[in-house]
Amino acid sequence: MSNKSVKKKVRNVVFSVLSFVLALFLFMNMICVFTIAYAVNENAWIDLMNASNYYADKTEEIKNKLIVLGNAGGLKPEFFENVVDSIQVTNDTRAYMDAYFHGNDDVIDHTAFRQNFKSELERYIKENNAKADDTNVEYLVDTAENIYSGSLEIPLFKSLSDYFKSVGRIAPIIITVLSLLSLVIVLILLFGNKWKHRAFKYYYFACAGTFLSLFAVAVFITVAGGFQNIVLESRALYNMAVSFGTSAIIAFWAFTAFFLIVSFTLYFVYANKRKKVFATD
Amino acid sequence: MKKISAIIVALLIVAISAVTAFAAGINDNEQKVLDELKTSVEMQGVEMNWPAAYVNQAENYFNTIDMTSDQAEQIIAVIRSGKTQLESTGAKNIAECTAEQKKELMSSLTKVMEPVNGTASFDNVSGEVALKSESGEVIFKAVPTLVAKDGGKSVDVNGKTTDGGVIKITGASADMLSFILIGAAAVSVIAGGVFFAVRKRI
Amino acid sequence: MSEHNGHRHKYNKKLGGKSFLILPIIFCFGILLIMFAAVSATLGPVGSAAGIVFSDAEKNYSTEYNNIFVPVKEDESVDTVTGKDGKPAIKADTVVYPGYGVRFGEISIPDCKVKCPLFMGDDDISLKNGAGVYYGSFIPGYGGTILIAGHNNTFFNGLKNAKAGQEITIRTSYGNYKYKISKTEIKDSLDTSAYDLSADYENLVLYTCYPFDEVGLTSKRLFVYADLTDGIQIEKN
Repeated sequence: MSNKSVKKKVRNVVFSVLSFVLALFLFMNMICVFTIAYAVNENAWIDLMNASNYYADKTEEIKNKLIVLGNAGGLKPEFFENVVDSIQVTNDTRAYMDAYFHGNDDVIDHTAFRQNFKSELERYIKENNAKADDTNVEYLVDTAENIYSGSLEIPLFKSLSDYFKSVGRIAPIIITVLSLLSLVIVLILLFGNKWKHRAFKYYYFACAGTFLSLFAVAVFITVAGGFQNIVLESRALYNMAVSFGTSAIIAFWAFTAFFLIVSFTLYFVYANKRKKVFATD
Repeated sequence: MKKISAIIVALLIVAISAVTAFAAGINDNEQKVLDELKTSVEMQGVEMNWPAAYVNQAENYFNTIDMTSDQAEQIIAVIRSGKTQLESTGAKNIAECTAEQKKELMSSLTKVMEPVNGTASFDNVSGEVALKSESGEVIFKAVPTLVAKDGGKSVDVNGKTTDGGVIKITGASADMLSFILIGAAAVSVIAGGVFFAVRKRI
Repeated sequence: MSEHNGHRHKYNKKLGGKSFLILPIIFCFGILLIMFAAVSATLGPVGSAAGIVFSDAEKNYSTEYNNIFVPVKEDESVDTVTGKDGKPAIKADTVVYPGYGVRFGEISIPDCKVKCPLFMGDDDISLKNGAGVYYGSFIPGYGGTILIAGHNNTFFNGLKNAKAGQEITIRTSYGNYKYKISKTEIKDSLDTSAYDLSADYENLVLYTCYPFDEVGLTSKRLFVYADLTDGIQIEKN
């Protein structure tokens, strides 16, 4: 085998490996982008809650839980119409999310609810001249408050809070580092090839590899049906999870389409450049 | 990702068992499991038992299924390994297990439920753990705890007494501040029971 | 552009070729393999820590319940066998055992004006629609403790008039059962001496929040105890 052949083979292998690494970096970048845009982003959650009717569903849930409490506490269901309203739930939820994403303890502020509940209760007792014992009333208010804050809590947040926060910090760094490294690889491929069309060949390989991987992921989550099979006690949270699943599916198909187009473009650029090279032959 | 056939079968089961309709009766295999459930766990030198309420829930569930001897053997093995896991935590009761140990117990539970498409869920408002079969039917629902041999109350991690969720206020547990945990053995038994029961139904 | 050391350099004028598809596919597998290894190593514990569970089971957020109660006519005869104690017992495999959340009977106390559906299990939906048997206790005819809960401002409001000597009737699809109230007691909800779930004889315990007609959450419960007076036991193996 001639020296040049060996060098050529070695060069092919090295550039192919670089191309693979580029594909990997591009893929990881897309995952990080997705995570930042959809998962660890407060605005994404707020949009999701708006889109999936979260606040209204949550208000219904809380009301139903309180009505059940009322059955044992001597309160008719009508009482609870004035006690929970979706504006209050919305504000308290937003405050909770805000605190959470800014690294504060995810504490739900239920003082407003408690005050409202207590005053409505006292009014009810006066109006109906009902029997009431102070300790028992206090216990009822405490329990109602616990139901309220327990319902507003998002179980995911508590258990995943460490991951959320560290991912939120790390993801942008990862994207920056990967982008820089990708750029380095692009430049190596460009300047390491005497014939520029060959560089485009490797760019095409990388993007095509990324396209296929994203395609596989998109197909997987579509067939798995997103989050439809998740088990959650709260219907409001479930609907939101399903919404999230749907937007994740759409996002990944969009990424797939993007890389498909880029791959095709690179291929044609490669083909054209190559033609020009051989045309000058 | 489950096979399509499994999904269809699951749907059929949901449709058919929409009304839970199985003949009553505890056969010998089920009795063996119940006897095993009544044996004690040694927590830090003190003999603790599963509350009668737990064992009764198992019995009520077993009355709706038919267990084979193979299934019983496997379930008993699961109970015994769960007991070992509990005894090795070094805690006096479930409440005193560390957060890590509780997480481990919880994930063992989830793993046990997986093969049968059963679920384990926790309601953070009521503090109860609910085990459900593939069709969504509740098999076991309680605030997990162990009781000393002479019965009586248990104390939860906040120092509040709990009766394990027997007497209700509103249909939810009486103790709103209950901790999150599973008595691995009792629960995995029930889970195991579901596993083999559902298998049998299929 | 063609000769190197006498070797005719063959170049491929044709564009494309298998490598243009195969290499990306290989890349794809490589990427997915690496990501899978990384993800399952890190996200596995996350998934179970978060308690995220997936199931193909039907998502049930409905407030409907199943009803298997078909009243037994008073003079209808039931299939019996002779039990261990020589008394007639209902054949176990003719009894449809209720699952959790199922309405399987009806409870009535004429002297207290109490009459409502009876459910297996005491979850919110059951107590909203009637009285519920605690799932850690048993059904009538089983020979154990039957612990039944009901809300005090709805179905069990009549218990405020409960007195010893009154009759309780529970009707199910497999038979009718009668009990006589022996006593009523007011106890703390966490007092586990109020009931014995490991009793080996049939006894009925009804409970509801106490005091009645009061606003507030109380830690007290009114317990009504009753003994079996009539009804055929279910066969036990």
